[in-house]
Amino acid sequence: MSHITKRKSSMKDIPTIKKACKRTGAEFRGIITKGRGVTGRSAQIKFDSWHHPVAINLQSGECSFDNYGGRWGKEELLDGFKQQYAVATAETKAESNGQAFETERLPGGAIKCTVAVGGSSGPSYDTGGSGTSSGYGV
Amino acid sequence: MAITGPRIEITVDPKGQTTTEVIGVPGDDCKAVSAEYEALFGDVLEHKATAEAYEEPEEIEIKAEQGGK
Repeated sequence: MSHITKRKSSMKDIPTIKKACKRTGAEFRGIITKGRGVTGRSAQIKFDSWHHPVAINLQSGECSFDNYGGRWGKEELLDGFKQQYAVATAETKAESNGQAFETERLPGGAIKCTVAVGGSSGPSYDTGGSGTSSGYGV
Repeated sequence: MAITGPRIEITVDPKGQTTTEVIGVPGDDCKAVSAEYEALFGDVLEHKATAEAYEEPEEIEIKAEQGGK
């Protein structure tokens, strides 16, 4: 490997939010601009067992919610939603690039997404000294 | 079929944080390879180069596997 980058979760894409809703059983309630804890244009989602919906600010990608310290909704559900959002994000990008993509659930609950560099059936990835990555489609 | 050649591995932890690793791509090319994916996720919490990042790219061409759709 050549470098490792760790990033916090951020959710800004509506189609991917909808995809994560389907995967986790959350209800997508639409786009709102006002409401409890809402700042700016936000996607509203609702977990069955939560008392109140979660607002996802589409500019910052951050969530606002009131689950009363877990009494009104288990935060694990939201964490799982964030995880599925990230997986769906990588999957969608790989598909649009024509790159092979696979996932594997790891012990401890993490999900490993693997993306082939150069695509599944596309052109080659050239590691020559030109400093370009011609097969990557950038 | 497992992906074994040059690849990007994105590990999403149970809280949704992502760790991106580029494998099999030496030198500066690794940055270009992963930039498109990393831009999709949130703010950087940590970044570190590994030994492979300092290797000179070899004058070889790695062909993506064909067929077996």
